[in-house]
Amino acid sequence: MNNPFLKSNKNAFKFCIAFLIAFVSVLYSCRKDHVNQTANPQALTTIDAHIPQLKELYANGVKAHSKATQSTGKWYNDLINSIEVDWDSYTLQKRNDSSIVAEFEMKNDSGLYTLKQLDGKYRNKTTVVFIEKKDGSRLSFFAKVIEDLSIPGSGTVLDELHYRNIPGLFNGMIFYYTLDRQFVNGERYVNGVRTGSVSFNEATGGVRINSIKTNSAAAPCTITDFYSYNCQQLPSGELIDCRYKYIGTITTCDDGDGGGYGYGGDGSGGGVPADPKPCIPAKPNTVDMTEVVKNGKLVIQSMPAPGTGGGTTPTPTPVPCPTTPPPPVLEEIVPGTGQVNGAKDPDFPSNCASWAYMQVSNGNYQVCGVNDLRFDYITEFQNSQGKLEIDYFRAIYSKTIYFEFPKKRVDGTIITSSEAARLTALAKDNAEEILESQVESSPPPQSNTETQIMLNRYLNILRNQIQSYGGRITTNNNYGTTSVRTYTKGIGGC
Amino acid sequence: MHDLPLFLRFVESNEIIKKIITNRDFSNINFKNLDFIKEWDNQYVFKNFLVGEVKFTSIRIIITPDNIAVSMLSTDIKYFDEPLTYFDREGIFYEKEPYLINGHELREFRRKIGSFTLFNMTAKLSLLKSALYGCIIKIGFYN
Repeated sequence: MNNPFLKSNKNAFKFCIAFLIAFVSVLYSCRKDHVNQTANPQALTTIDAHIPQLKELYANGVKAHSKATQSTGKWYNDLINSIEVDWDSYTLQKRNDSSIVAEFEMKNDSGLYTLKQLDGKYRNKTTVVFIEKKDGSRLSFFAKVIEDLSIPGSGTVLDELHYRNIPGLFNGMIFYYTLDRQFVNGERYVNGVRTGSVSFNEATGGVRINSIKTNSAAAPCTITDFYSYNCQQLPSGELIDCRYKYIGTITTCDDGDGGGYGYGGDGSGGGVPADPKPCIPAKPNTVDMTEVVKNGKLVIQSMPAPGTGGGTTPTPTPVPCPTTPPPPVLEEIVPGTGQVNGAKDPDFPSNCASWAYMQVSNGNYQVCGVNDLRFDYITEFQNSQGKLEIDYFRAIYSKTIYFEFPKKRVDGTIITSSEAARLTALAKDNAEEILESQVESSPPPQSNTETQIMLNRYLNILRNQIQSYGGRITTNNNYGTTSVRTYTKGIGGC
Repeated sequence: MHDLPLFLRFVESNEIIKKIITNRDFSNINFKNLDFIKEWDNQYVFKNFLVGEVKFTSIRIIITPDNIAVSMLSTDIKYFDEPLTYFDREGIFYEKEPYLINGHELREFRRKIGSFTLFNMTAKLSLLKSALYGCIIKIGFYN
């Protein structure tokens, strides 16, 4: 690990950790008394006496970036946006392998980072972690936790999460940084089990990638957008003007590929080389108990069993078996109540209510307009390294698209407005699938003209689809219709 | 023929689907015992339609000059969850942004399985899964 703090403060750190060891040894020897007899948490608060040494060690470790607002030059390192430690809020763990972990929370850890633009579905926390291992090796680093509460039924366990003490219900990611705010590695957890490694992508700026990559069909890597969420705070404390800001992308690779599996969180600067590992059944974290002191109050916490991410020795850890998500429960949906909630459309069908066809007195058509008509597709191709890559593309028409659908079939039967809307919605969705297929056979040029080319291309396909019903589409309001709606997706609606 | 994955063998052995796809129309279909809706001359929905071992809630087939789109809806999600069994491939798995419905998130997953040759045409296959509808198998036939 590239950590000047450890190199330049070896003796001081040793001294400090010696106190920790002595303290925790006393604590550990008294465990039976605490558990079986009358607990005396106050006796455990002596860690406070050693905090000044830790403060000094920490100050030396972060001095290269002493200003909390100083950018590291890389957007993902700036996720550690506060270096002010709350020395009054800490946990202390004596682990089964005799290592000692002291973990402190950060003050003014402002800003929220999310993986989707979903209000109230993410929680963050940052801690600084000091470890003394049994073999004498020492570690210190930041841990940034992003808890994902977007999974239905999930609840926060952020306050119970500590270094290598992952609650069984934790979903989200943990990123590790050296004290000089250099990203080391990251991990993804699903229901408390590590399922993949996470890294940040260098590129940032105003252009969303909105794409997915994969190295192989069996073990995909996924690129996900990354957002910050910030508000302005009024003197009254009220938060206003809260906004999501796209700040970059992360790549998540499943552990199952045997590649890129790093020993997350040891701060050693990149993890161990990948090697094939058998999977082991995920266990609830209830096998071994370890004392944890939280702000001077004893808490007996369950610890992960060895091999489930609970160890701190830098050896390869067996990969947990993949978890199978519970089967979905079919739900009753109120037609037309759905709304898009992000930058990537679900593959739900077009909502028929987008097309409010109205009869016109002149001509043989019923007519309507649609604003914000959009389409998207996923394409796969081989990149220059020969790896399979997948791009997500979405475009929205800035102009109103007018649809003209016949009033009658060839046999003279009436086509109702709702029939016309349903057929148009199906044609629109089928046109998307045709475009996706065509793009894979004949990719567009990689240039700034791509969007316009694809807008034209999709419109031509949609035109053919509507023509097969005897209808037309145009950007001109030929019949002067005022029946214009905004395009939506969803079930029902007509 | 037997190079096809299990599910496509089910499809290939279904005489009704085979006729529709190979003839590119519905004129030779005996609708007598079928539960169906004619949406357009070249667009039908078959209800409670048995393909292989599963009775699909509905199967919509749309024949256009550009493609033949087959969309098979089932509440049984095993096709999505066991892709290697039925399609010999995991496909590319991803989740897009969820929908918000009455403040509740509705997630949707897709597996893009890829291309096969079926009925002497290129068949592009993808799977969808959501609590909204269960599982949808989409097959697009292209010349």
